[in-house]
Amino acid sequence: MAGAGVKILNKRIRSVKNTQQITKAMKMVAAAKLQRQQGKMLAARPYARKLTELMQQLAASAELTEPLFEVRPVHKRLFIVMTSDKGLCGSYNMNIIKLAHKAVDESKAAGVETAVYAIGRKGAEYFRKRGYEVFKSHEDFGGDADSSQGKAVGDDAVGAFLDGTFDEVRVIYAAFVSTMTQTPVDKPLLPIAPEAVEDEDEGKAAQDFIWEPGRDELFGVLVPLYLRNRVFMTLSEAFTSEHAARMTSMSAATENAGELIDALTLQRNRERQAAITSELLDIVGGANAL
Amino acid sequence: MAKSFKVVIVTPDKTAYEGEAVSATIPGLAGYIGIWANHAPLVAAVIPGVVTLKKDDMGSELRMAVGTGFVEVADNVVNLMVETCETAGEIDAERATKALERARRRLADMQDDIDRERARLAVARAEARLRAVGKK
Repeated sequence: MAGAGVKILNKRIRSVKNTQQITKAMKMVAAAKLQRQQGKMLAARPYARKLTELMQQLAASAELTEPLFEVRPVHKRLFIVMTSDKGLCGSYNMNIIKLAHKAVDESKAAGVETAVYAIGRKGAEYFRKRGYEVFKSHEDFGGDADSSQGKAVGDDAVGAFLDGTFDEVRVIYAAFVSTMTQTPVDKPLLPIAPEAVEDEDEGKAAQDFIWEPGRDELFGVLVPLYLRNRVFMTLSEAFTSEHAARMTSMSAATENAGELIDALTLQRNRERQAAITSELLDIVGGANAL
Repeated sequence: MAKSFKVVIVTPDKTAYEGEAVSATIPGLAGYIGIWANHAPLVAAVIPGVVTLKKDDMGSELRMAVGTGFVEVADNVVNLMVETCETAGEIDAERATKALERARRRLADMQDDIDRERARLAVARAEARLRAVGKK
């Protein structure tokens, strides 16, 4: 009988509606988190800018003899891969992991021992499952960057670079282009590239500062702070991208659910009408037979 | 009235303070640095301690506990870049006292040099907090 089809369709519509409610809620949560993370990123910029400026001024007048600038022959390379802890954010993790996987394989093919420092559970699980060396992982940052995380990761990287465990450290994360677009990128972290601290406007560096204590000591204090901050800014950008990706994909999911509901409702109404028509025919047929 | 200058304190998380002051005392690596208007251009390392800003000649003062970082003085602008910055109102004195005790104990039974350095910094931070709230 046609009535059963209507019942099944009603059930499906209800279930899609439930899913839609969930995706809608997740979209709102992601939007709120995105906004907060973006605000944080903006608030953090003045510090990062000042630190870079200072780095430039010092680099312009001091010799870059810090060990963190030292370019060594690369025997062992570390990739810091920033993914999310949770899924439901579209192709966000897949895109990053694809790039990271390729980079790691290429590095290995070139005869360099390669390890992964995974930030985010998705990346950690992926590389662990496939038998890659995972140097360390953080799976509890929860998409909310703060400067203590930058410090922890930055200090790990510096420590491993200084004691010779790794000769090069690179970061792979999703750069935030816009709410709709996040592009995975692969950037060098250590050794610090001199370009990164090269001076853009000569005017400011010309200032005749009193350095207290000496430039070299100042440099020694500044470089770790600078590096921590670089890691923190990268983390904060990666998390901003994550929330943006989640928001976009959840919004798409909500829309798709809406379309599905429309299509199912149309089908249900048709079946209901068909059922009524056939019942009427039965009645008319029965009446005529009398 | 003494000439004032601009003070900006930035931390990794936010711009913690922005305003005018007639004098500033900053905990430098080699001792406290006093800054008045028209100070010569200076870049100095900052250690955990108390930053005191005199807002005017009347002696109204602002005290903040800061972490490791830098100060840059140029053209009557004092830029402080520090890892943390807390005003007296934000500091939990009780917590700071406990942290101080903890750090002192740690310092006392510390063997390792690196850990000792960290404990020493923790003591400095806790002391700075307490001094900023005027409990020490």
